[in-house]
Amino acid sequence: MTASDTFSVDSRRHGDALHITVSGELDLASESPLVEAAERAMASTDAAHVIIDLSGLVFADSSGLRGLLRCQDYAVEHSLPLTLAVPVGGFLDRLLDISGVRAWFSYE
Amino acid sequence: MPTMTTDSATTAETERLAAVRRYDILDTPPDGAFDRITAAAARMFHVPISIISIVDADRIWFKSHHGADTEEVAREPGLCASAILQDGPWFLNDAKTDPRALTNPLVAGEFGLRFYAGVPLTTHDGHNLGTLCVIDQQPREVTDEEMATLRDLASIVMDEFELRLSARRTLGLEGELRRQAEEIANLLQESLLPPRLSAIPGLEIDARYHAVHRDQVGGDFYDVVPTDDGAAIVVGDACGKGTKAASFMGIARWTLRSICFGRWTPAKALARLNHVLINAHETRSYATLALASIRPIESGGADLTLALAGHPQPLVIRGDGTVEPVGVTSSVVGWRTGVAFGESPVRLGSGESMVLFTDGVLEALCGHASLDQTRLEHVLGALAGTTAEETADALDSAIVDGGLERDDAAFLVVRAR
Repeated sequence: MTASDTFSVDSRRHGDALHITVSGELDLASESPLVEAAERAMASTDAAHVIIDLSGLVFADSSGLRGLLRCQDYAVEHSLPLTLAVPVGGFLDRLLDISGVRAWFSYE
Repeated sequence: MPTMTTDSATTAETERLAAVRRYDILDTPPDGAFDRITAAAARMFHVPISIISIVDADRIWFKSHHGADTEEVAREPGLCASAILQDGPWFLNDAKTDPRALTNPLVAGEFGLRFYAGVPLTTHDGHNLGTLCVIDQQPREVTDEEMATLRDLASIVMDEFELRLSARRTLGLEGELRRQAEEIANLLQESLLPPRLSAIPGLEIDARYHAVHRDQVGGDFYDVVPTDDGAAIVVGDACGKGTKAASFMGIARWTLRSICFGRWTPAKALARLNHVLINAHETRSYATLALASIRPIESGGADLTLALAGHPQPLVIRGDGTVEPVGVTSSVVGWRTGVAFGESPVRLGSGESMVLFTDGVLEALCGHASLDQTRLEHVLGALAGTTAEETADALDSAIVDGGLERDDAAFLVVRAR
């Protein structure tokens, strides 16, 4: 399964933070590409913390959320503080509420 | 001895014909690749006619016939029939003076064939399917170089036959694999969902499943488990699709069946299930669940205790047509240990219903990227006082009529008498 054309994940350093920018649809097809790219970026960074920027997300389902949880796990294992930048009132915002996992992440 | 020779010749011919059948070339449409080869052969030899022939039981069929209008001739006069009896090239510089062919109707008759050079098309296991040949109505010499080129072209023809055969086989295999995958998915789906919901005294229950993908199970599920004082009802959604999601869902369903008895509560059951799922599965995943214990009341109505593990709030259809979301949210199950789950009471009046559903239902009604419940609430509001089956039928229609189904959808309607 390949991620849709609209999905993209990009990482770059800003000051002492590693910014991972995610855009498009975050679902079953893009879950693994997200996790692989994020883990690769986190493995090779000397940044003090990680920010996953989700402001470009147009859709996220349970598989997408699972991908973010996996990124969270990796960050914790490697002692990298991780925060999410989530557009308020958007799809992911509501999904975090319904799934009852809002408190499992830190936010920008 | 002659008898044995005839027998072995017959066997060889039977095997050869089997090889012809195997390549599945006879009577296939014209093919550019083969036409280019005969055109090249004719050009190289400076002859008008070049043919790729397949020798069948009683005819010689032409896969490509450059410079000739015929598609087949009877086996008897065909010179290719003689050519395939040897392993090397077979040629007639001047057929009119060659004892092997001068009485052949193609030579003696109107066509006036004078020159023939043919190389057998030989399979890797040594069967001559037919020939690549060049033909002229004038006598001609051939050089070793020309014959070598003809042999190379014949090898290319054989390579093309092999390629097409393996491509057809691959397609056939793929088709077969796809059919098997569908069958497995359907069996899996059927075995993971209750074939018939248990009847619970004092309650009407109906549940429906909309599977969108024929070749992949979704993670949606529902179940009704009879208990001492009523039932446990659950609707759930395992993350992802396919066999992984299905097996996660299967573990959830069967674990719940073994937990929901005696002095159980939905919150305790979810905590237990959470522990089981985290430890039971190799790959990490999670599921969302709406789980309720339901206890019918003698005089009508029912008492419920409802727990939500990361699942959309079920909707109660009140007698006056108002629709009320119920339940307090706890987190999903299967991901994190030591999570606490909450539960809350719900009371159904006599004739009132509660609908538990997966987010696929919301998507089907409102389109992709929607967790909006207003349309569903609107549909259900019109169904106050209807039986569980009528409610389920109406919701079924709304889902199908919407035409926006993208993922599996499941729902369960429970109505207190």
